[in-house]
Amino acid sequence: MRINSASIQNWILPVAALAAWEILGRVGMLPRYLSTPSAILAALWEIALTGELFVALAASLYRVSVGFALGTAAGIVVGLGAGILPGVRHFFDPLVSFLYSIPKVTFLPIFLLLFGLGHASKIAIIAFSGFFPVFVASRHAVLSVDKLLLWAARNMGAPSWTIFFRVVIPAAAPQLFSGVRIGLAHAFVVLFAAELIGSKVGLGTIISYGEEWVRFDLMFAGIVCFAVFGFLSDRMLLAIRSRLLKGQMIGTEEEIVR
Amino acid sequence: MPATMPLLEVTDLDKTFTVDSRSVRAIDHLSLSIDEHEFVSIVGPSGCGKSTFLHIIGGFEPATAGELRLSGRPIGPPGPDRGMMFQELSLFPWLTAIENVAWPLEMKGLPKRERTAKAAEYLDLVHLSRFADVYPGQLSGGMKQRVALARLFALDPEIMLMDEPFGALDSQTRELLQEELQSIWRRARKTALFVTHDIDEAIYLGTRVIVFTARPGRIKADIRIPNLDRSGDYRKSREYLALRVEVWDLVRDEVLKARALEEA
Repeated sequence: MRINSASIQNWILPVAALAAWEILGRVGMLPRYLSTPSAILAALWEIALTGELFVALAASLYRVSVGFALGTAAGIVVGLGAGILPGVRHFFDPLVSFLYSIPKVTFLPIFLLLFGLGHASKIAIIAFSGFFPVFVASRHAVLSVDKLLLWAARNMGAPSWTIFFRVVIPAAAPQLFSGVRIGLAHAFVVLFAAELIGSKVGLGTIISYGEEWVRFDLMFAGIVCFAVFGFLSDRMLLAIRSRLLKGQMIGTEEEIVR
Repeated sequence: MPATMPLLEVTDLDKTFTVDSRSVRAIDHLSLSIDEHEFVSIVGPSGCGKSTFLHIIGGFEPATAGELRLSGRPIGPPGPDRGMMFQELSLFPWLTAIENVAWPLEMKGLPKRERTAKAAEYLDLVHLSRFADVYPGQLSGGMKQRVALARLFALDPEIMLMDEPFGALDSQTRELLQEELQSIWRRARKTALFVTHDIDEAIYLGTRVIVFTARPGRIKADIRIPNLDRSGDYRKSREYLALRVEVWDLVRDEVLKARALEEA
């Protein structure tokens, strides 16, 4: 990374906030439930030594990745189908628009009853909530593919399947990725809620345990893990995207920012 | 097949649109035949149905009535025998310039090595060899249309259908591209139907200029330009200037009629 005034500016606020948090916390000017950065690091170290951290990480990672993958795959397949085939569209549209605005976490009790307290219920609710944004984005992406690109492909003698895989999907990909990214954010929200309510192990469980036993440092340790997790997976997604969509990000806001 | 059979034969073509449950006649009993190796420019006031005419030949829009034949066969859905070039960007933005040009070759089933070599040749033809691995988003408007031109040559259709391909470019770039297209065309003399609203462009490129009437589109004049000399001073020659005045008068009449139609 080049060091320039912009990259220094990027760091000013986070570093200042952390320093203020640490200093104010140590001199006792902050409520105890806010803990301090050093205490949070110590708590992380503590659960790392006992191994609890890794058990929780493994459980949460497993749930979120499988749930996200299932929800995304289903959302893309059904969404592309709805974009292309009016029949599929008319079948799913009313259902999706009815369920879309409901927070999917509210279905958690049903999923717990259906799949029990283990991994399956979390995976199912994460997949369920990830499906919607991906479906909506994929469906819309297909419907807004430039007609001229389809005409050009037909003109060059491409059969329908070739047009679908080699023109519709790449043309829809940028919008499709936006849906996947929203789906990823939803996945973490739902993961936390699911682990908070019905779970014996996981990052969410560490947070609720910390809160219950007045170990606020531990609670924040769990939150930090969530933040790192979410940040890294989002960055991974963006890296995959800029790799796949090399030609299509030229001149967009994002290319300039990155 | 008799040797005198025209490449494209259009007989009594009618096209009616329905706009807000009102029917609008876009093309009215249009008949036209084009021989192989002709470069036919179509000019006319905007909204005269000239683009629609091209889309119907391309198979993208259905005709209301009439008969269309290419080399004697009735025209069907879009296919590589009729190569379209559009005014707006129709390159695939996720592919590099050379990959875009290689696409029609892939559809024809050429093996990878062969189509890359051929695509490179076509890119060279439009002087874009240096930009082979660049994405359309990184190219200027004129360069994009040159890639589209190379793709059209790679498709190698029986007839090229060009729908104001240089219409969105600035006048200097446009003139340059006209000269390039003209010099490339002279080598193989691929039959072309070129729609434009630019009279200079129509005369400079065409071996034949067809003037469309205001809506509904019919043929008002069909002018042949047997002289193919397009060397440096052509645009200043007496023949060119005389043609320009002639076509300009014909088009102006129709533009005035089109305006009256709009204001009515």
